[in-house]
Amino acid sequence: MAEASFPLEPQAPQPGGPAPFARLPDLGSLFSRRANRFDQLALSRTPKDFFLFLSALAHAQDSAARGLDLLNAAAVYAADHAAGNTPPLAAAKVRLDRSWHDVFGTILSELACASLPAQTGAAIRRGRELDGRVAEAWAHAILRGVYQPVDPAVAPLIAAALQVYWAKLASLCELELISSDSPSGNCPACGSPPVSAVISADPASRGNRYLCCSLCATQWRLARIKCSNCESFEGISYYGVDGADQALRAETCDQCKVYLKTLYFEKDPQLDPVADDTGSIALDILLGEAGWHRVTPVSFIFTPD
Amino acid sequence: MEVNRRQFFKLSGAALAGSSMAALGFPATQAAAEVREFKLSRTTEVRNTCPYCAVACGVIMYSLGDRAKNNRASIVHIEGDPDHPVSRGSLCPKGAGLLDFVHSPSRVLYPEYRAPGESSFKRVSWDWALDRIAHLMKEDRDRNFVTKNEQGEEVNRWVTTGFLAASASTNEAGFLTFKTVRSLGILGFDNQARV
Repeated sequence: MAEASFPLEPQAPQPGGPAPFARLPDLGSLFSRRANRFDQLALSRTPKDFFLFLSALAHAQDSAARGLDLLNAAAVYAADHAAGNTPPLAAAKVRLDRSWHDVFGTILSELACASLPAQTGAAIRRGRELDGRVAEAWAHAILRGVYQPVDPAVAPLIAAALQVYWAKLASLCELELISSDSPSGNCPACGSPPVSAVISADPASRGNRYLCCSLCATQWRLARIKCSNCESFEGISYYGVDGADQALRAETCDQCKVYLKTLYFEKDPQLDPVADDTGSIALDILLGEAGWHRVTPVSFIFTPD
Repeated sequence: MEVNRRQFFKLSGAALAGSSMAALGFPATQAAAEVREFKLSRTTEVRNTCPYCAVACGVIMYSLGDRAKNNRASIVHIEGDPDHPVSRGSLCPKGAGLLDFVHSPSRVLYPEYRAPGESSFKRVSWDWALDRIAHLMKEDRDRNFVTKNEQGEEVNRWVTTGFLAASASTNEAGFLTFKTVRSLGILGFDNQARV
């Protein structure tokens, strides 16, 4: 046989290993990139000024994140997690301390400089005059997904402050603390539901799906063509707006009637898990009419019920 | 703990008009009105296995089309399945060209037969093709089956016919292929069970 001329050598390992399970947010670019995306979306979306406002909000989040130091808090949660309480940054156990109020304050004062509709200006003033305890109560209501008691104009501002606070905590988290055993439909870092999913275009994880946390911006891997809510592999379809580009589609599940938007980075590297969620409300309305539901409100669009 | 809370939300044009967007002073009704011009388009993504070789790489096939009865879905894109434990999303050049294979105008869709000395293929039925193969196998086996080697030891082998079976097979299909082929005495044989 030919064995003599082909000595058996151990095979070189495959370049790169399996794709990483989780990706923690990079606060250096998270909110500034998002602000740019909102600016882009403003060119084609209605109402344009709403997207310009969200761009200003993301810029304010960026400033607030830069001034935030949560090293000690992160260490406390890491220790708590080591004691067996998981996920490490669960919304219910994190205390909203002075730094959270500072983040909220920074966002409001940064926004006050932007040129905005009168009603937005009034909402910002109401936010600044808000009693600290009420602000905290509303923040906790938003974390629980109960929006009724919250002023719908102030809710996006509080939600923005919560995102900054948790994204900062997540950015300080150790990857080893994030367990891949947690239920796949919730963030393994903070337990919140996903806002959308991305199909990665990075060389180390090309083609893999990551779900994006609506609160702390951590991304975690989940097999594709599988419902993120009920884990069904059956009855999965993808819906987009007819004639729109195919870089954003909703993965729908016939079993539990839930959908999750999926962003294909290979098709458009400018996409953002939050900005493009708000930028595709037409898809939400069409899917809602067809009987599908989602597990988070559309980003920054809270409805009273 | 509220870690496992699950709530369900639905956005409608009416809900948008009472949402944060409207409360902040933006024309939400305008956004809702615009949606009336749009409609949904459906695609599917389906897992499958590359048919070329015994590595059996995972692929994802994208097809377009709604589920209307008279509408045939059409495959528009094929790529490696990143969740496949063996290939992890990679494909060789043959696998990467699968879309052209699916839509190839010269793709073989039914059995065809070219008789010795003929210049072209003729369409035949599956029954005819299988009968013909069975006859040829039996003729060849009857003529060339070896029961004993030069030393007089019993070997019961049939080396004038080989067998190449599918790559996208289950363990059960591999088992059946082995049982069928080995029981005939065939030695030149490859299928998924080897990998």
